[in-house]
Amino acid sequence: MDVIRWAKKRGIQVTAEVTPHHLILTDDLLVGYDPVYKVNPPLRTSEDVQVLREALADGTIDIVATDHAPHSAETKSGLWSDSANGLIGLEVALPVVMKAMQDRDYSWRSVAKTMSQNPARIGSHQANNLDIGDSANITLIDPKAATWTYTPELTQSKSRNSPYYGMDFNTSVAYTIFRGKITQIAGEVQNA
Amino acid sequence: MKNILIKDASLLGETSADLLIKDGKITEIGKALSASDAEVIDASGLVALPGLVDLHTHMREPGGEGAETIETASRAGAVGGYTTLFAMPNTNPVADTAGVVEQVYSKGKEIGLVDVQPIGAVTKGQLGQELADIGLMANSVANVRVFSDDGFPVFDSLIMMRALQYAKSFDAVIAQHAQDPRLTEGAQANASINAAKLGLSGWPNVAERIK
Amino acid sequence: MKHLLSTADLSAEKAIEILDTSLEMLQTQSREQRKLPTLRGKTVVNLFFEDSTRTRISFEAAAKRLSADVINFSSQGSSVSKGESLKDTAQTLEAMGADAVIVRHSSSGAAHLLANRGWISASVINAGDGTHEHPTQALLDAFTLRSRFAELAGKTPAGIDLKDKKVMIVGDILHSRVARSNISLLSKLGAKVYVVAPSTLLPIADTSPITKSFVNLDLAIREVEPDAVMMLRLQSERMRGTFFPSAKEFTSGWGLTAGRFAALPKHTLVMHPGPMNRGVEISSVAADSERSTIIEQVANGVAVRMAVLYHTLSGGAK
Repeated sequence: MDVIRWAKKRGIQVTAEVTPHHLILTDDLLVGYDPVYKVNPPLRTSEDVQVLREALADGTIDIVATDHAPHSAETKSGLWSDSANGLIGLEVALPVVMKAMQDRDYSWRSVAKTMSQNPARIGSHQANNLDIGDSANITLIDPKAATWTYTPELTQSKSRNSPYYGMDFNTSVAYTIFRGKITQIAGEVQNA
Repeated sequence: MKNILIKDASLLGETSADLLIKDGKITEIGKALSASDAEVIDASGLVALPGLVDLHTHMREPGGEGAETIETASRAGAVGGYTTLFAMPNTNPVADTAGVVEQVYSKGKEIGLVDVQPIGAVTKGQLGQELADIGLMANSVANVRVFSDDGFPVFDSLIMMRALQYAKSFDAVIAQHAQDPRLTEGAQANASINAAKLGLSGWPNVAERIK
Repeated sequence: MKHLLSTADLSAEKAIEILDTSLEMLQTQSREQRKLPTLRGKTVVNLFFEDSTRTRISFEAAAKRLSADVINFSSQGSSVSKGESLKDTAQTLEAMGADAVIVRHSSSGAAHLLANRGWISASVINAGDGTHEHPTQALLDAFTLRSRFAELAGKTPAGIDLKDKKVMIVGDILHSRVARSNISLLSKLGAKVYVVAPSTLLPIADTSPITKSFVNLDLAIREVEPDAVMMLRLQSERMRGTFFPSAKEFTSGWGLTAGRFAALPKHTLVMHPGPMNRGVEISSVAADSERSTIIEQVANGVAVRMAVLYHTLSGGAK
């Protein structure tokens, strides 16, 4: 992180991304050899997690990206050494990030920057500012949702390699609006 | 398409406002908006953010449909609040030609739950030897602007330099996964006291720092 | 005790209990009738995905002397999907009535997986998983140390631990499951554990429970004056890339050469889990000396494995 801070200070064009799971999971979880925790790069220590949270809060890290990596049970439930790297992360990325960052100074404006505006600027040169005339891509978040638990039944992905099953959250994604169409309400995909 | 009126949302967690959506675009932002023909969402207590964008999704299609498809990934994205997903190129075949990226792009459009933006491979087959069809992918319908070999980081400095130079002609970016392949051969877990105790060969964090 | 997966999850009390049972088992082995009826009607499966004749026959002898039926299953894991084939194999064996599965596998965590994934209900005994643990080896090493130390002190070994004994483990610590199991078990039993290796073969580890680590064996011997040195086998099959320039250089720096053996305190025991690379990590002078426990370790191995089978299969109730 110090290298990235140094480079940014020097005006070098460099951006850094972090995954939600590296903000919340640590290598202590490997004790049971459950390959759901096998990811690339590997989970690191709780000190490393603190460093990443700090860097996301202070803007050194520009982007949160999920590295959503679905794997079938056959490649993800056996021996650690034989299992594929990766976990599924799209569905609860935002609740996970908010849980990880709850004790940090991480505003909704920062969420918008790191999870929407910065990736949109880098990937497709869009501002994503919620301006008049923009494509109506809007996500409505309930920041004080009643505590809820993520379970396999809530999963839309075809795979089940999530380390977050059984985890409780206090943030939920109430609505997703894509190009003016509601695509999701409270976990239900809208297929109209 | 039905018009939508979002009432009392907290914009980026700051000011409270109504948003009117017509024909897929934000047409008005203000207080006490009304529209007789619109579906109303009561967003009091909710925070409105621009739709989330993920630069790093593995959709597995084509080739890995047993684990995920563009449709199931789009559904997962919608549930997570995403409106744009960038699809990683490590599919089978690899997204290293205009044909593959156009197929992924149009499938995403057809499903219509999120924008599916293909990421192109930097090198053919992600093998790190020859440049992939960067220009053809950039100029295709899919309008590819991000290139990456993701899990197979480009290790050859010459290829990397050429890719960076060449991508500039298309206003594109190259994303490099931080990993030194030699330092992580056979590595299984963070090189820490935990990996040492569990007998998992260590992945030194210097492997990310060196690249 | 349902399973024995690692020494890391054994308490000191349980370990001493197993060592005491081992002592009883060893005493029965000098009788004319060595076979005990304890596990009559039980089926024990040796599931070996990695070749190891020594460990397999030791377990086989242990199970047979307790009157259990023994099935030997050796399989070179298929390269396609070892995880699933492990599951399928284990379930097949359980369907055949296995009460205990003794598993040896090249992948760390394999025994853990068999015991905890709900695939089978049999007891699982770890006979070595990758570079993780080899708990029965550590138990037999502890047993051997305890017997010799008690003998030197003119005491009976039953009930005692290894308090303040200095044990030095030397060689390829990084790839050694024997080292991992011993570090955790011996330190739990009160011993001070020292490790000595070239820095490329020392895993990143904080000092606990290791008392101190060294890269220089001569210095370590002078400074520690160990009560026992445990020489590890060089595991060339587990090594990736270059860890040291040559076997010759390894021997000159970290082998128990005749010269180093002579420099040890006169009471220091010499251990090796076998099979030895004579002339590499250990010289014949050291291996064949009176202070070598190497043959004794093998004999004790059967008694310790009898005790482990007894504790896992009959719940340890006497």
